[in-house]
Amino acid sequence: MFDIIGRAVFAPLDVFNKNEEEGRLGASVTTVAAAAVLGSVVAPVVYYLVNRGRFEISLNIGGMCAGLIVSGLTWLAACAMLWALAKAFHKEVGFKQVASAWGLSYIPNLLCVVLYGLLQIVPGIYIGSNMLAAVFSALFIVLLVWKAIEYFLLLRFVLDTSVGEFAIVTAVSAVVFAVLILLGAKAGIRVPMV
Amino acid sequence: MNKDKAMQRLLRSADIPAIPPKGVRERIFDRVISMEIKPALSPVEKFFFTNPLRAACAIAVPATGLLWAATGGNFIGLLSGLIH
Repeated sequence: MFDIIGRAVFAPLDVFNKNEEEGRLGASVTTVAAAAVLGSVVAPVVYYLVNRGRFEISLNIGGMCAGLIVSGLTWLAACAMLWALAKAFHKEVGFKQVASAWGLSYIPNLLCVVLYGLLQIVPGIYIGSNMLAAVFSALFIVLLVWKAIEYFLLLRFVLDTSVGEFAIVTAVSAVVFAVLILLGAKAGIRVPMV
Repeated sequence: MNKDKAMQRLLRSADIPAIPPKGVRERIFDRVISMEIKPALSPVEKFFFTNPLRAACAIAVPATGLLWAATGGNFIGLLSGLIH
């Protein structure tokens, strides 16, 4: 599993394809679950433990559960949308192939959750140093661009879209992703899980 | 005369179907099946898709520079707005 995650980072062409590789779906689900748990459960708990003496805060267990569930559902909804579009264009790709590849694109999300959580819990890291703040901003941009490239990888090598199909899928995805991000924000998800 | 006989022998031997030794066909089939088929990539695709992390870093540097120009270097305010 860690081998697949490693290849998803350093040699993504090996894993973003239509091949039925054993363990890829497991690695994909693990990546999504890790991002969801870190963002919805671990980060709020650590934030509470660090700040409970300073502010009047409480743990919102219901909100944490809602965030966790919505994170998982968001991933499934994105996979279903991409798979349905692939089927609409008569592509020979199964839901499992889409889900296993799209889940691996959550590695930047996972790192973004870690970075966001770190800056939220320890704001002193960047406050006082404009240079460090610039470095952290650059890291956010790296993760954003990386995620976008993974999306294009999926469209090119898993869904195998032509230029016209690519434009349609991207336009539909933009709307669906915006709706999913809004729903996630309503459930308290700070880092988008699409 | 000898040449004729040799020619006849050659023609006869050419009629015999060539059968590869046992197991060779299977080995060739296995090798073809397991061969990694690399997709043909344009230079732009190669830059973005072979190592997306490196490509993202290459884009992030000028993007940060643009942000620096847009915000007047106030990254602390930018990050604070983003986090809270």
